[in-house]
Amino acid sequence: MRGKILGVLLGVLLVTFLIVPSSIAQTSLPRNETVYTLGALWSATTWSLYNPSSTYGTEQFMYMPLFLYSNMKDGWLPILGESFQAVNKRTLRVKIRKEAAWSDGTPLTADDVVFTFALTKEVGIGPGNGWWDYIQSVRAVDSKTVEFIMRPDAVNYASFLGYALNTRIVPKHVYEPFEKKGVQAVKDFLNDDPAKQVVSGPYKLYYADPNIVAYGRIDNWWGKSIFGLPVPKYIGNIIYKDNSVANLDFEKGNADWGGVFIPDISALWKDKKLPVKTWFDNKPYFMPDGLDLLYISYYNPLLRDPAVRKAIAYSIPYQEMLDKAYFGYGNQAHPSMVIDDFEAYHQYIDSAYAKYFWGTPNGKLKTDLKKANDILDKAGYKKGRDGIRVSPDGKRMGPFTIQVPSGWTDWMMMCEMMAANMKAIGLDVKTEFPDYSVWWTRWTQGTFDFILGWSAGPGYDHPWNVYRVVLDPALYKPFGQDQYGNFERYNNPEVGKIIDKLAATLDPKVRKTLYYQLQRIVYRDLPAIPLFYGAHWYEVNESYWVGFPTAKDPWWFPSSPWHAMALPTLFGIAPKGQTPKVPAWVNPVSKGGLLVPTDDILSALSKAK
Amino acid sequence: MRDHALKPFLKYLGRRLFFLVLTYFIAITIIFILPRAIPGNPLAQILSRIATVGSANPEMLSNVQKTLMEEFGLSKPLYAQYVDFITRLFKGDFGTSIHYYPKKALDVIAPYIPWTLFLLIPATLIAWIIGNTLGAVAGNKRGTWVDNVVLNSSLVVSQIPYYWLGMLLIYVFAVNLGIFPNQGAYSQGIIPSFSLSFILDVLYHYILPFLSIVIAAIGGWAIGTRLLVINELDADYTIFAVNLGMRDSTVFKYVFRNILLPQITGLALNLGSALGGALITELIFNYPGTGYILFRSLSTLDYQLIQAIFVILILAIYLANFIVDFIYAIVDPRIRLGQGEGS
Repeated sequence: MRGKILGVLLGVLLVTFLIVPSSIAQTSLPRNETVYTLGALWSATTWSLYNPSSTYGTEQFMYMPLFLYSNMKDGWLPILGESFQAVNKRTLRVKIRKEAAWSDGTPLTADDVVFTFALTKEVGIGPGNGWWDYIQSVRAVDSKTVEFIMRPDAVNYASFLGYALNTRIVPKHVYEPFEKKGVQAVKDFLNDDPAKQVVSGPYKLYYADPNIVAYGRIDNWWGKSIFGLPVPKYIGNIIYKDNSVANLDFEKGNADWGGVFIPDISALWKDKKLPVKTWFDNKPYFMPDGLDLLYISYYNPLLRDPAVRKAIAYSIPYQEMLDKAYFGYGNQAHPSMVIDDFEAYHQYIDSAYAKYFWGTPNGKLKTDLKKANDILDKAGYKKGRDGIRVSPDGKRMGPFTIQVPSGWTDWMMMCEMMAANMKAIGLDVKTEFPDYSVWWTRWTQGTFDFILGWSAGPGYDHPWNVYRVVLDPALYKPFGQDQYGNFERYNNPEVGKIIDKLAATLDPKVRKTLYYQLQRIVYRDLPAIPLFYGAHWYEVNESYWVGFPTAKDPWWFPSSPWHAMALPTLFGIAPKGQTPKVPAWVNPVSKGGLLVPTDDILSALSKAK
Repeated sequence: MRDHALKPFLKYLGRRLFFLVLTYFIAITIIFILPRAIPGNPLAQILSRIATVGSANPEMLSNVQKTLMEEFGLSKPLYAQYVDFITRLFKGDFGTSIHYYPKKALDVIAPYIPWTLFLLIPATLIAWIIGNTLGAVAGNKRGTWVDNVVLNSSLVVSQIPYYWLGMLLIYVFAVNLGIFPNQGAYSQGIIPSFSLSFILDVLYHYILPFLSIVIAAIGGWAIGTRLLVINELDADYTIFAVNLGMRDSTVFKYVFRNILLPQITGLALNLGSALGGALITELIFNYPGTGYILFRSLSTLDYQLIQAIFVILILAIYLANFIVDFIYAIVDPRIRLGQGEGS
């Protein structure tokens, strides 16, 4: 009997061994030629951009845009494009590099660009999705020149530039046969065979299975003569099932370049003496990724009173939250919603007014429970026997809930701290941590009391992008209907007018005045309360690769490996033991590089007829 | 005569089969309803992934949401979605995964199945063999130090959550001692090939997750078997056999055969549910199994993937159940002959 069981057991083992290694390929990626990323790839889908979310790497390494935008230097790196020309105030022509070609040798032409835009509109998903809201036409002037004309009824320079320049281009000769079969064929295209992939970037898929997705460098890449080649021969992306496993791997040096939340990161170099770096050596360690706010929905009538909102704003323990729950990974946000960590955006903040209004030297809110209580007392909210206030028309202030998705430990702790302080000023606030999809539904449908959520980040359209996502009445939808944006359902037509004017102006002075106007309204109504700048996760373990940009050597934005700006990082690093060489082309044109400042493009448009 | 014996047997099997099919439909209906009862947006993960990479653009997200709602038929009324689901199922089409769009749900699951079976089938079998042997020995030597050791350690081990055991193993053997790898099914950077070095590498990564499952499962089996043995030892036939003067080992053989029946049921059910993977074990060891895919599908509220996994999983459990029924009917004459005529 036992012999039989053993036999069966061995049989099962043998069979599974035969099934498991289903593919036969080369045996390994050499460690000193492979950069391993962390936190970029959690699942693999397709390597086609006509997908709601293609596999990480498709956008970053395989398909290139005409110009690649860089946050930190607020400039545009000409990749497929070579130069631009403003024909008139609404028309931009882009010259495509004569060298630009697909990996199968086919030249990359204006036809590819025109085709990409048309296909996205036809399919409804894909690169540059939504471009038709801002761009009237995309036309090939000749084989290497493409012309974009802005819609006269939706003048919005930032969105126009973003769509025209930053859209990833796909090969017409690959996609056209699918398009002829119909939209579904385009959507079903997995593009998962490395041998058949036709790309414009310096990498393409090398190998993929449920454990890893690896990209391999194309050594005869068309851009070699202009940009050189990225240094790592391979980019390996382990598909981690869990954050803690990923973090442990990073600690062990198995991953080089991360873009994840790692608790207490400085302990890795201070206590464990590991060659780990973030952008800054000290707090806040990271650059900001965007503005995170406390959204207070207009759904609950008790929370509509600006006085209540103002009292809440004073009750929030801003600094304490960042220190205790966030390991100091971000700075307190400026109440104007402008990310003041970047020098370039200071011009858009009415500092004098902020200082006057909030009564602090830096114009930021200071936690002051007494003041918060005073505001509520004055507004007629009397405390009941249980310590909870009652509104002037006799309604108990609560229970309210403050929500973030379950498992977001840092944000969960912040919610607990905010709830405690709000309770201290007489508002009955409880925390609730629903599943992500439930939280998302409530957030996008406006059916919540308080939600901690994000908005937008630094970019060529900042701070306009934040005002628009948070406040724009054009995004207003009734409670219970899905809308990404205007989550709290603030409906102020005056704000809408300012936001539209801002998008349409090329005059820096006008822009400034409009921003100042907006800030007065924001302080008065407090539709949402800016809390802090969420960190743009960026951590490197230099056990195998050195030369990653840091604040001390800021040659490129500290881009998470998953970000659209990731690629140039790979050109300036080197295997340990070798000296990294920063490519000259990452610098602005004025310093001998290729990077075109956003202002140059805007002023060219404003000077054109 | 053969006919006479076969008829109730077939009737018994027929009835079992009928109920299996019926309950199967009820089960998959529940699986259809449950995820949809959660007030969450199944597109939330996809949309927020788009929102966080690059600049968030409200129009684009609205466009994507609209396209996907149509794509997955989510805007249709519930009954239409259900009819769609069942008719597709009959054609063997499990639908397209939301999270892994445009991959078919089945294509998403398939690569994970061999890994999970490879981990769980041997682990379940080994735990079953060791646990039963220990339990039988302990029951047979009731009251001795052997029994004490087995019973007490089994009680302790069976109460340890298997994921905690897994974490402990990682902490001791991977982090502190550095003998075993902390994660993965094989070494990072190795690309699967059919070579001895790859197989050895896989086995090396296999040890810790395998042990964490085996150790945690042994206790339960041992306790169960011990109790069964003790019961059987007190049964009339055993006392009769002992009084006849039979050798201990012969008596034990009879006893062992009798206790095997319920334990085989347990084993079959365990093997049936093996397809579901060992969810948390797979997560903490970063092991590419179906448990992980199940976890992903639930946390992203991927309706089609949840459905596909459960349709397969329930089918496997029911198959195992049916096989048990079948074996029972063969092994146990009481079922084969008696129940066919009864109720």
